[in-house]
Amino acid sequence: MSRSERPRAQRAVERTVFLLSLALVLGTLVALVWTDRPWEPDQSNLSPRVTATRVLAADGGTVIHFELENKGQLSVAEVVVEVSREGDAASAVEQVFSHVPRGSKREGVAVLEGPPGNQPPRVRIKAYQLP
Amino acid sequence: MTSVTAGTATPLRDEIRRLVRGLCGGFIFSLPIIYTMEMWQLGHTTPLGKILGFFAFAYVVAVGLNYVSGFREGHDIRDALEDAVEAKAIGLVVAAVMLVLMGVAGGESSWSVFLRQAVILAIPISIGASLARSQFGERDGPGDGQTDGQADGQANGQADGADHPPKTSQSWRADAKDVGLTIFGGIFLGFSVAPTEEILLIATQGHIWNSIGTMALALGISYLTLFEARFVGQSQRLASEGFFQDPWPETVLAYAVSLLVSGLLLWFLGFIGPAMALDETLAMVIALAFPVSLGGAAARLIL
Repeated sequence: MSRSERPRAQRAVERTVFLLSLALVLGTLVALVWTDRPWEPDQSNLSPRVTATRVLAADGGTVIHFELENKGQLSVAEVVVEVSREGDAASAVEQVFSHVPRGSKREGVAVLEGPPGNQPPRVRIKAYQLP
Repeated sequence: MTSVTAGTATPLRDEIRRLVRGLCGGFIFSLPIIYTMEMWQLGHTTPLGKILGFFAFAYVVAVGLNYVSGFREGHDIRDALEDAVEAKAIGLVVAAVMLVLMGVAGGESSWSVFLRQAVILAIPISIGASLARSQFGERDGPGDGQTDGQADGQANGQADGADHPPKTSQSWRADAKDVGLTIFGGIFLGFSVAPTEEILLIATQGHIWNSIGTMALALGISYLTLFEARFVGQSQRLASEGFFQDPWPETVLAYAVSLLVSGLLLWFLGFIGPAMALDETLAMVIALAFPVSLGGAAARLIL
């Protein structure tokens, strides 16, 4: 029987099931787009940048001052900065910044064992997360 | 023979039955695809635009399928559009449940990846659901215009009627046939999944609750496929005699056979052996027993 010939109760049930299905499908697609956020800049455009500002010798160690700057379009969380001697991965120490808003700067200090070498220290962002 | 359900024809029962048939069809037709890790990885790598575009394309295909061979008599384009939406919803539900049970969701995986994986997997599942709803529904009785509930009433009447006197002496024959078909169908569907690494992956990345959930789902979907979804051949199944022909005893017996078949397949392929840890072995057997049990259920229904 065609749609108009079906009993009213049957049409009501069919309509309810259809609307629930539609809500599920559209809800999923909206959630998918929302979590993906294609309108926001790509993560690769985020640029929390680290620059070693000063390297000092102190008490047989090396004190390295560095600056963390977020020049990207988004705030970032959990930025892990790794400081090490060039070519000596075993010397690496890490410092974590819990939240760096976009356009902001943070300063950090790392202390490595041993006196400063001829090469400048290696300062890099090991990992970061979007909030 | 015990009646499964009362033969009351209600719109709600008809609609639920159609949904259940789509659900079961989605599982049966798509399980080998669901058990493919490359499908999961697509959630990490496929661009959003591609996913949405293909999802929309699959919707159009489902509308076409429903329009050409829709389940409802006198169906029109609006029915086809609505049925395709329902099939997509079924696909999303099945995909989400399976991603959780397989241990693919959670852990380090984000919501975004989970949703991407669900939407990608929903595409083949919804096509299977559309196919099951439109092509494999039972339409016995005078004319195709009767509802599922009316056909169900006939099926139960047939099952309880005097035309089928108890055949205790022959019930073992039906039981043996069921066991044989379970093995046959189980090997048929299980062999498409058993030699792959996914079974080991599912077994190792899941928790004990994933395995328990998989067992419950396998039993539930097997039962629904055979006794509630009104696939072609259900009336004959309801008319069978014997203790193991009752719905739940048959479902449990068939699942036990599926576990054995699954274990044998994995042993034959060299995935399990005496040196392997018991918990990992059980998890693998249970993971493979799902497609095996569905293959067995499909074989008992069709053959």
